[in-house]
Amino acid sequence: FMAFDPPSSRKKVVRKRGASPEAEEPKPGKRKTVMRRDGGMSADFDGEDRRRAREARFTQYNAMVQAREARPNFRVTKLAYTPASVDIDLALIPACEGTCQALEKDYLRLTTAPDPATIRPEPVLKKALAHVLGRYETKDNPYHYLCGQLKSIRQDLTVQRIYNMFTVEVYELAATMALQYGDQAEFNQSQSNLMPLYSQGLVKSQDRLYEFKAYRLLYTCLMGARDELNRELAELPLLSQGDRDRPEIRHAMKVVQAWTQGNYIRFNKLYSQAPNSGKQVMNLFRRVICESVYPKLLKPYRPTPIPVDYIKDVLFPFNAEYKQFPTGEDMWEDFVKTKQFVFVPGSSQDLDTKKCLANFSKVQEEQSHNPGFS
Amino acid sequence: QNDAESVYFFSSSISCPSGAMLLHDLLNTISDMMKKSRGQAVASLLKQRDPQWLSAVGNADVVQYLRHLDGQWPEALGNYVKALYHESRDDYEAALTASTQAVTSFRKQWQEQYEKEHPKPNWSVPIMALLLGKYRVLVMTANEMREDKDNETSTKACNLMTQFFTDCQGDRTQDLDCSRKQGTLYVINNLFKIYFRLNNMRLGKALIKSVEADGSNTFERYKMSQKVTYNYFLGRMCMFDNNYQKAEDHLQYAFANCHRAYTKNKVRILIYLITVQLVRGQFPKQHILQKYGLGVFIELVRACRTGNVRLFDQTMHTQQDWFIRRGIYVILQKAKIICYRNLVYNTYRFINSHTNINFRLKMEYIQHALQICEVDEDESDLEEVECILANLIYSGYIMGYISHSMRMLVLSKKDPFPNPHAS
Repeated sequence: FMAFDPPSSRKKVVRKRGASPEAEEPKPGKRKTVMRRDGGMSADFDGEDRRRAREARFTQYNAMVQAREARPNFRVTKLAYTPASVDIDLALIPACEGTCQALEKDYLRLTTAPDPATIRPEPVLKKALAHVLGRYETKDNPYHYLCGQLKSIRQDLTVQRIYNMFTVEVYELAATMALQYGDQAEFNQSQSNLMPLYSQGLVKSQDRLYEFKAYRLLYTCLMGARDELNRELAELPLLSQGDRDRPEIRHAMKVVQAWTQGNYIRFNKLYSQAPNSGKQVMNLFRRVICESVYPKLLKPYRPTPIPVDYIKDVLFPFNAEYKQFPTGEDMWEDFVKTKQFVFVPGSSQDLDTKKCLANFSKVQEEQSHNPGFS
Repeated sequence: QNDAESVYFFSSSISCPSGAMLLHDLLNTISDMMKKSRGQAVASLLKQRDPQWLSAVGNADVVQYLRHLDGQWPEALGNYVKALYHESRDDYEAALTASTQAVTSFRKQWQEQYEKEHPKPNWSVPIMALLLGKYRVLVMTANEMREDKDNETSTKACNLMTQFFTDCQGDRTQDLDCSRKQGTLYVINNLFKIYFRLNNMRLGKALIKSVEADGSNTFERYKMSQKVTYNYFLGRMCMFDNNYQKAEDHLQYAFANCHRAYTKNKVRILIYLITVQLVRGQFPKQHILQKYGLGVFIELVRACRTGNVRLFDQTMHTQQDWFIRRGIYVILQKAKIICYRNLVYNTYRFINSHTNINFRLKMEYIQHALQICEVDEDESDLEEVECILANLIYSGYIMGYISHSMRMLVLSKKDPFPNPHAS
């Protein structure tokens, strides 16, 4: 999938020897039969290696173009809450009224203005949502399918500029489902789309509103997005005392405090007490937590040993009954593999803190923008 | 020349008290100054708050009156005066429209070739500063009044101002004293004010980069008031990025150079300066807090100094709104580690009040200390104590190590509690 026109229309910029398979007629001469990766044979022009190299160059070119466009030329387009962007600029296409009646529709990113025959009108979308809900409850469908269906419903809604209670319902379901399956990107999109809808007054129930507000507080805090966290916090003084004392909001504020103070034990306690789906939100950042807390479990204890079980309890405090995706056991195994534990000679429990710390510094990845626990 | 013109204006007001006559005279003076390209004089003349004068504007078609000025000046100045009038009537929508018109006309004027070839192209920079400042104020008011969901008004304002920024930066005059680059900081400061009000720090970073790219030569030539504002915002930005050393430097510069008379500004700078220093372990003196009316910090400082964890939590809870409104709530949470450090230090001193110092400190003692502070049961168990100590050692506030099995903190014999501010 290319983000720009194929090279034939950019003759000045990109000079290619040989053709790109999509754009031009196959030229005679360089045709040869090569073995494909899956074992079949294909008449490949210029060889697959060259094609792959060309594609790699194009991805670099794409990345360069994107970087150039992303570089600030002081074009401020959105400052505060905005609906998440779709691939095309919505302002450019007129709102259309759909005619499609299909119940199920796969999700495709839009690259041009959509054909009204493929867009479903609201009554159909409502039936489609009920259909998806049914499938979700029977729990026999994979996540990609459910997510794809929901995304196509959302796309149809956005294209038709339908912003009402039904949209809110769709986004709430999408967010909850994304949490169940640990899909951070989806969750982020859904919850950032929910907020402008809520602020327009499309609130079904106050409980849900505050539930998602709490999720947003948790999410922005753990994400390290100080901008947005400050904006969320700035709304708190405007709430009534009764709303501020809601358990979800109080819990979220305590998590913010524990996170900024670096108190991982308190964080774990709050994790076990998290209302609604707070646990799943906090689990989205399990990896970040581990990376930032692990050295704190080693360096201060040097040179005495520390039991492995303690590390496991602190970093992966999951109960056996709690089923989530991925499971705690999987995460722990991944962790163990990457961390190269070194045990104190003569013991299978106690870690040699000095050596483990040395290993950790060696394999430490470059710091992401999320500094984790302070 | 500045004083001469103002004196002229005041003298005329004494002799002709009627509003219409005042307006007449003022506009004449402005036209004179414009012909002589005296930007600073025009700007000070335009800064009018006198209600008598402003009410006279209402019926007058100021733009038409200034028609003898060339180019877009009638629109620019006339609409600015109109905006002042509407603002005094609390008609913010009309004021905003007039102000936008003024700013856009000013920009069009700036694009004129004869303006660019003027011997001193930055003569109109004071006027620009005035227009932009008023525009920003009106945009912020409109933002609050309209309850814009997408912040459309501020987006447009920012776009407009960044165009000014590019204009200023794009000026190719060789002589820096005459260059329009002198106006950059005005624009940047206005943009910062919008960004900070909207809690959107990311966009400010791009601006900083371009100012730094210019070099210190240009920076020195800006007016001190602008440099102070710029450093204030830069300090806040660094604070936001957890870069406390740099933040402190910038805020110190701003505080030291802020003119004595501007108490409100000094207080604003001081709030952030105190926060940054508090997080690094330096406590402000009580008389300073009282002098500048920052009693909010007194309890907090006392809690940190004595290691009173409960008091710290309480103060943060009661003053939560005050801190959130200034955007320092999250940063102040980090001062808690100073609080814990002092708690452990005091415990250590107390246990070792005899001559033979024991370098091993049982975690139970620290737990007791927490309980003395009346911290809740579930927040002062041994695991939490261990976590607190781990954080302290990891951040370098305590030199030593923890023995997990023996539940003990073993301190180093040399300087176990280094001064937090020195680190």
